[in-house]
Amino acid sequence: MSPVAGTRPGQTEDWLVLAHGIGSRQDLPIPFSYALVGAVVALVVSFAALGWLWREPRLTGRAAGRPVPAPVQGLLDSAGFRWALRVLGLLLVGFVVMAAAFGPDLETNPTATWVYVLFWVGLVPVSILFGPVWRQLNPLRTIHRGIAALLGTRPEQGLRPLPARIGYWPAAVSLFAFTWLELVAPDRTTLPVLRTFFAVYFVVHLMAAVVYGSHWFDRGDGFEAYSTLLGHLSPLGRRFDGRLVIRSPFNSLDALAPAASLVATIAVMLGSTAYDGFSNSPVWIRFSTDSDLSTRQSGTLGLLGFVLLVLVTYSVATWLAGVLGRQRGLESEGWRGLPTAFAHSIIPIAAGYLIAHYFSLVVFEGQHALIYASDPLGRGWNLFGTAERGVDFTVVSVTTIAVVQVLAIVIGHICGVVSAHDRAVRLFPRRQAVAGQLPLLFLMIGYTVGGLLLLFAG
Amino acid sequence: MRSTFRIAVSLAALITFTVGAAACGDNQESQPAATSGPTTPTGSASTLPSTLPTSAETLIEVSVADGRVSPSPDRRVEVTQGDNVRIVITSDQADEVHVHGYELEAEVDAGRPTTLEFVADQPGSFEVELHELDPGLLFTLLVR
Repeated sequence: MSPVAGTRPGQTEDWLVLAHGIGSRQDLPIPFSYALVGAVVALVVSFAALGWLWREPRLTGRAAGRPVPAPVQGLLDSAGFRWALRVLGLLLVGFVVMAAAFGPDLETNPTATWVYVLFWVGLVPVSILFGPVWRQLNPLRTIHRGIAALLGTRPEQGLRPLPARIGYWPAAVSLFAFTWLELVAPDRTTLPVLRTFFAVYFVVHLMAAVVYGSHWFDRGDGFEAYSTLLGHLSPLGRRFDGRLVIRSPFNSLDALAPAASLVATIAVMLGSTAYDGFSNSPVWIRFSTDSDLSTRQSGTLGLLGFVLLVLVTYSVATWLAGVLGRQRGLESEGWRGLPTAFAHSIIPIAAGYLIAHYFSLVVFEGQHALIYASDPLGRGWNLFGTAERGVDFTVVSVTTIAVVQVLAIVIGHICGVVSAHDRAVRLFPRRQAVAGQLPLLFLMIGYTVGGLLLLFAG
Repeated sequence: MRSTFRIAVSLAALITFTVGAAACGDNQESQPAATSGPTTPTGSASTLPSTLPTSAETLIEVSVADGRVSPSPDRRVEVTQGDNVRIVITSDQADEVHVHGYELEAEVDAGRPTTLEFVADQPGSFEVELHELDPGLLFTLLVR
């Protein structure tokens, strides 16, 4: 097959050219009929939900769920299991650090595919299935635990408390920094760039954790926030009384605690994925070639623009919802009212976008990650017996990919609508509940139709 | 709560059914790509169903002058999986051309046409770029 027939790029510069974040192969535009059916289903379900779903709030969030058997919880919460996860996190990250520090700066170095594919994209399905896994694996937490032990303090105890008004701001900023690296930064797959980014990331977050205690990672580490927010789609959760429970994902979403700039963090998740799709489209290509901006400048503007677009449209919709729903005195409900109160309902939509855009990437580039992992230092090793393999592009067909993409977007939309509905009937007086839902419903339809358009035209 | 979940599950089932039905209805369009997709990397032309037409050849010409690509780089060239693709690049600057996904590369000498020829045997969307130009995109190749 031709992928190996030609001369392979071997220069240190630009060796694994990842045009749109990662992956040299992109998905074909979905057939128009798929986009159309997806949009029609989303529309019909949205308005059916308004009239058909319950009128009294049903979700109970942190109070919901059926406890897992006590021995299962005993095992999952045991110190041994927690340490096994920490050690696993240290080993996985240690492996990548070794390849990044001592491996050759070539296409076959596993660092870039491990960072952008296995870690960043792989975290999505793992978190959706099992909850906030990165909290358990995060090597920064483990290292910080070690530092605390040396200082003779408890890890949670910092030099000063983390102010509540900071909320998720540092996480939103660090997520934005990483998505900029992934989607915009020149030479983003080369080792010097990756080393620099992660060296800075490690130092900044470790120092912040020393100052504010390990609680910093909950709110400051972008990867933890990403895993935690997506983890609120998991059927596995922790009830208010500490029991591990199996619960409806809608209750997991409902259980998300309000915090400052939750909205901004979710806007980065959704906006960056949308920009990734849009940057492929002829419209954007024409704009960026006709402008006098460099790729980095136009990419930065595009990424920032999409994040702001989500932030502004969402804020306007929730403001309108407040006006139409005659909502009063919401301060007790959480951090500054309606935008935060409905933020959880955007998570499934962001997850749908992520799956739609990165499903084939995990399937195909994920194979590269495993192939390159066999020879991390470029010494002709074959650690896992995968070194001689090639990527099998026949694992999933073009049709399967398109179906998964449309399903992800539409199911994400429906989960968003249902979550927002329950929150609306809880917050708004009964007579205004339908009117109060309309702005957000239209916004979600916009995000969904936009997502399908990106798949069709991207 | 269980009923919430039941509603969600039935909605999901409905969607799966509808989109699945649409996927089936789309067979004429998507089936050829899907059936010829599973040819293994080692599979030669002889393993392809005999109903497939003998592979066509697509010629794609592109030129670069004063940092501008013509035709405009938002162009998408569609070919059928299994087609021969021949790309002819002329640039006023020496550069290097790269066909993503197929990982083909060739030197481009200033002012002299460079030809890249290959069989488009994997489906997907692939960018064809110059390395020194910014933005370097020449066009996008859609293999269906």
